Amino acid sequence: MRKLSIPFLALGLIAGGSAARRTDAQATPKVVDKTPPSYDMKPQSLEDLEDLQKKFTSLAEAIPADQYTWRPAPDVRSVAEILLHVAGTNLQFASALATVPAPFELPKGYERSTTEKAKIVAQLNQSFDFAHAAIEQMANIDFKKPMTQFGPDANAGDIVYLIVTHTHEHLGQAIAYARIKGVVPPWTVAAQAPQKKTSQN
Amino acid sequence: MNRSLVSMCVLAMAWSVGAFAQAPPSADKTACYAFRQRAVVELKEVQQEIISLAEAMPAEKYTWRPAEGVRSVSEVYLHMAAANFGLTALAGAPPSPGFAFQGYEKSTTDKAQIIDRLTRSFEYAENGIGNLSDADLLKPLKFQQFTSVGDIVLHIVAHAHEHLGQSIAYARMNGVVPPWTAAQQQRRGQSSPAPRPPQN
Repeated sequence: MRKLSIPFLALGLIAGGSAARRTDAQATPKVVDKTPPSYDMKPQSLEDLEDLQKKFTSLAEAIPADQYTWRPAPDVRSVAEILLHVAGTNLQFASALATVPAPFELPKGYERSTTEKAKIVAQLNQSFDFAHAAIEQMANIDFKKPMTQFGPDANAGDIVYLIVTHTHEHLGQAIAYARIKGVVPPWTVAAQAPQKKTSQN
Repeated sequence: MNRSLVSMCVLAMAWSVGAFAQAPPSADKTACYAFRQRAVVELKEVQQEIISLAEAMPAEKYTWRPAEGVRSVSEVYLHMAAANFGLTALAGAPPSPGFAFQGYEKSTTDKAQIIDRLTRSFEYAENGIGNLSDADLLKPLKFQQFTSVGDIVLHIVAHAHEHLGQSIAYARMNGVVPPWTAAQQQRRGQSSPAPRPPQN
């Protein structure tokens, strides 16, 4: 949703639009740190993506096919459009890392290209597999690799960050869609099986 | 690269000059990636959006929830605040005075109080992460599936994003357009009457 979405204008995948919001970000506190090479975010990013893939695809499976065109209000993404938006973003940003070939090309208007559940779940899965493979091919030092097509100070690590945070944001959105339609996320069902818990997402 | 992707990249560049120009360069030129700095930038963005969204939600909607057994609007906001306070302390920041995780999510439904706590929690997380050193990120730690302070920092950012997405959906279900989307739509409406694809 947010900062990733402006590039998708060309594909008709318009989103929350936080490009303008970025401009208000405050400067980060200066930290003088002379420590040698540090935290490698790759393993945790990959683990996180694996978890996100499981959650997203199991949620997509749990939502009935006839709810895929539901949206909370006009001009807001439908269930199908969110799922394809995530798949498209995974594909676009993992492609930019240029480590492995993309599984398919993004057609114009991809977000609205289908409402067919099986097809959407399959493409979502492919997009996660691709993002995972693309990041897996990176060495720690690659995270610092400049990616000036995204801005003067942008680098590959920023793109990995964006893939992870963007997917989390839409997972939260998709969970809320599921809940209002009476669908309990499968992992919550599993967690609640032994005992009743407090309020969940 | 096909025409669509070319167009996309051009737009990506136009968009992102503002986005990444603000990521401060790492003070440590030997570090592989300015991980902490990026985390702080991400948190500041989420803070700006969630606070404006919390302001836009009518006070009487703070107890709304999409279904029984699911967090209400206020519970989601306080859950975010609790995670910011709790996880940042776990990462090594001095604990926030007066914060107690137990029962925090249901401790109030008062809009002004919740916005204040949410704001303070983001400031606390941003300062806490900003004050860590690169070496701190490598410190081992065992919490759920996470094994280092760096893992927790990434989780703090990811967690905030996830509940921002949830909150946006809650707002939309209650007829509230996120303020940044409303502003964007107003700008577009002034410049072009063309129909727009759906938003979040």
